[in-house]
Amino acid sequence: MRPFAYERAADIGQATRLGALTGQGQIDAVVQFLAGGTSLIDLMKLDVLRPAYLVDLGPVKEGYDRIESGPEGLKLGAFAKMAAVERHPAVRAGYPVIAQSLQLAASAQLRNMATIGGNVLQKTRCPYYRDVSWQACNKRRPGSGCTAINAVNRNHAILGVDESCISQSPSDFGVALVALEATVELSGPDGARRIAFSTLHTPVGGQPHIETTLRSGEIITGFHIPAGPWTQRSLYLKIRDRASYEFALSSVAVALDLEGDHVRQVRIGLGGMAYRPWRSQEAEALLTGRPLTEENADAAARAALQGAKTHGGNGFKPELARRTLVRALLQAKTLTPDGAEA
Amino acid sequence: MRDPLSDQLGPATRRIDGAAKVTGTSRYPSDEPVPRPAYAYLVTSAIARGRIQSFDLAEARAVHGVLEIFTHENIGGGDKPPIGPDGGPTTTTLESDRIWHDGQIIAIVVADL
Amino acid sequence: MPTLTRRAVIVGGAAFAGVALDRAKASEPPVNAVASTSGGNSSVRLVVNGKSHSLMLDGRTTVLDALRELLHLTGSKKGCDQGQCGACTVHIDGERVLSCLTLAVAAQGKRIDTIEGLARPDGTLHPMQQAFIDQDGFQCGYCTPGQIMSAIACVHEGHADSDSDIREYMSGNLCRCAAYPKIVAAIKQARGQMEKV
Repeated sequence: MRPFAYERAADIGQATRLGALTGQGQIDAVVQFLAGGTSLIDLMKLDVLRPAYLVDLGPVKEGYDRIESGPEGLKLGAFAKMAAVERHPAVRAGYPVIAQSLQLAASAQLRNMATIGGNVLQKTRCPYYRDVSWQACNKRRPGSGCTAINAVNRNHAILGVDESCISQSPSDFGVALVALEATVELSGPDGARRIAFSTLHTPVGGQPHIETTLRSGEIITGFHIPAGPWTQRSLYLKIRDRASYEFALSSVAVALDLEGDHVRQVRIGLGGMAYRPWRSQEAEALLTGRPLTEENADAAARAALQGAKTHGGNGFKPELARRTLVRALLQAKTLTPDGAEA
Repeated sequence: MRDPLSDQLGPATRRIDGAAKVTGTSRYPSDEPVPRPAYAYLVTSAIARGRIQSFDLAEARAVHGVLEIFTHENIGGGDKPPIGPDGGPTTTTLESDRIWHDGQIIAIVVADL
Repeated sequence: MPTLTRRAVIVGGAAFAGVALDRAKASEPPVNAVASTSGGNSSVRLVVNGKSHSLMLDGRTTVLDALRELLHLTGSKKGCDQGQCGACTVHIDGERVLSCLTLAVAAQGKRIDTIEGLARPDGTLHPMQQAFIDQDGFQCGYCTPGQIMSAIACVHEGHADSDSDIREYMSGNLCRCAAYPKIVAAIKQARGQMEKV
């Protein structure tokens, strides 16, 4: 780890000022915010991130870690730990897909340390990004090329693919957020603002070193998930090599509003597929207003994976993704309206 | 706990190292206290085949706490590497400027932090 | 404003960085600043197993390294140093966490409990420690302190009621000797003797 100067921000205002040079996710940002540290400290040890200045947001979390549920929806403070959100009765009862996306992620220890705000900002697991001995990595060194495209890319992106970087976003919680149309509360040098979660991560567009639409010094303070008749009959299905403690090869967040077996509304998020958690409105359109049959689910899955681009090592992914989505839909169909298993 | 095999194999016995291992007092090599230790960090090759052309160690040597940096140029010894068990060629750490595999140790930084 | 580079901050120290970064109030002093230039140490207070220690350490020091190198509490093990194996598991403010991914400076003011603090002063073992011996829940023993600290928290969290729950919620602790079945057996023995917190 390279040396850094450390400061503990007393409150959100000071944190914002001290964090004025945090950038938009670039790895050469001079300042990094420290929350749970599970992504940051790991990457600093690997010499991928080399901030000169660490601003510890520990003291800031009071006031931004509450979990509240009401008629308009769910309000989650960004500094709530993954474990706290996962076990909250209102989250489990009203938004099971959110609880499951957290419970199936990482390990118990990591869920105790990591904040949900940090979770959606965590860096990709691409092994070439994480190993600085690989010179060609456009995310670490803009313009140097992409090693993964011609190397081991088994778990790399297939949707929204850009030839400058095929790394994928590892957040499970983000997949649930994008499916449920969450918004993000931000606090920064120019005040507070709110954005759709789906706009938090920028398309790669040849510039993979710029990852988010955050302005320098901005901190995520909370998430809002709107209430809706689909949130309770929801689940997160995560497919991976190991049974636990591993990132997804393919995952799906699905939320259903059913009348009999007729889909009134559906929300679908895909994980393990793209540079950001991926909403599939193509699939939703094919399911809405129709009976939820395996045939219809299959057609929706094909639509969701239209345009998938593989690079040799991840050729299996489109079919795996389709099957994951079909299985998730049919499983969600068997849940009772309040989300219990029938 | 009576176990059907113990009639033939003898009674189940608690490990003599049990108490030490569950209390964290059992010592593994990196737990042995060494007064004022220096630490060695292995620098490894990022290429799988080739030759080291040269080292530029001035900046690294100037880092606070660094005591020495060993490479094939200054490690000393100079003995020929041992013959392999099958009599074939073999190679040893920091022997020469040649890189034989990815991750080969090419320098050892010794520091006392 | 001068370009803020890593070199400038490290050479100039925290004072320079504080002025350059804090655009709104240039004169506001940093709060709890621990300047960590190369070669610079700072004073950090850690409370471990109920005892307070004042340590001079580099800002990059993790809780794991502070425990092992400075406090000579080598019970917590360095298995991967990347937060992937769980051998470094300790309790901070009563919760199981990975000490290799926690900076010591960030752990100030919190209660840190390690394997060394489990047994009573008279030597009586914690029920979980005893259960690991009774059930032979280890072979080489290197992962064992982390397994025990993790297991205790697992029971307190209410995540040890079934075999499948135990396996799932202990998945953050790897055991290369594959003592897993006996670790599950140990946890089942101990949970009946412990209270859920």
